[in-house]
Amino acid sequence: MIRIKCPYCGLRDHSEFNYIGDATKLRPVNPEVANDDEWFDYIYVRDNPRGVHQEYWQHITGCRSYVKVLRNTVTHEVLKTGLPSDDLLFSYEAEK
Amino acid sequence: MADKTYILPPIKRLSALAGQIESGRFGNIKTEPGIFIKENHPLSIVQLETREPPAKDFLTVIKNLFEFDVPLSPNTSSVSDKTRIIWTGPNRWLIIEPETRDLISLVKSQINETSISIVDLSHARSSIEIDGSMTRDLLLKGAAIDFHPEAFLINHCVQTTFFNLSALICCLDENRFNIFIARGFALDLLQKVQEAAEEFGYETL
Ligand SMILES: [Zn+2]
Repeated sequence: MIRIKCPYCGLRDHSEFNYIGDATKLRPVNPEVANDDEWFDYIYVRDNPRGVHQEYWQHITGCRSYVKVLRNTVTHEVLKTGLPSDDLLFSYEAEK
Repeated sequence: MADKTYILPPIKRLSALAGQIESGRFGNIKTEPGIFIKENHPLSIVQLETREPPAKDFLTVIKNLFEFDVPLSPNTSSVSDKTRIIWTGPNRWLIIEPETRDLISLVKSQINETSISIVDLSHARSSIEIDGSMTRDLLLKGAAIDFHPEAFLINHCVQTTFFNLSALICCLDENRFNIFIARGFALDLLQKVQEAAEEFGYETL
């Protein structure tokens, strides 16, 4: 069972969460001037990495907040969790 | 042409569990039932959401209304003899009390800030109260939460999945808990609780 630590509620089963998506994708900085390729990339193009991946989950049956999760896609180990604004990959690399 | 005006009878509050609870003792009773089950009805339930960390004005209004502070830490609640305010998410709370007054109008009359959403959930939630020496064991059967008395303290509240139902579980007293659920799931919750309580022996009140 994967356990995810919600930054508000604490450690809970992953069944309380919904997977939202890839948290590494950034919305074009200037949406008005972004071209079709940039939008296509932001909306559709996703990597399928083997290893550490930063993703959004939502604590749907708990506090309903979005949670950022750093997860190893091979072992399913949850390495770090935080608020959506946190850069988990950066702090994970820094702590290594 | 103007719409015809209809005179509607006042809406009578009817519990989702009305007529569903058969009182008596059931299951594996040795001497005393391990679990006592009853419904809490009718309740006034109001949801408040400030969206941003609550302003001083808001905190003062609540304090003046209920004579205690809104709980600011996750999984907690504040309580007086009749009202309970439960933290249900960042900047979101439920005010719950037995229905004795028009709570929603009272709260609305005191909060003028338009960015704060105030929603009446009185008809949208059902509540089952469980008491008895085996309540913590029963809760453990339905949710992956640490219900040990040293971990799950009085006035502690969690929102979690309970027997696969999305529920809000509140500790009222050492072994007394309140489970809140969306109205449509009330009967399902009651049946799940009864089934789980069978091994301990239970009494419905
Ligand atoms: Zn949460």
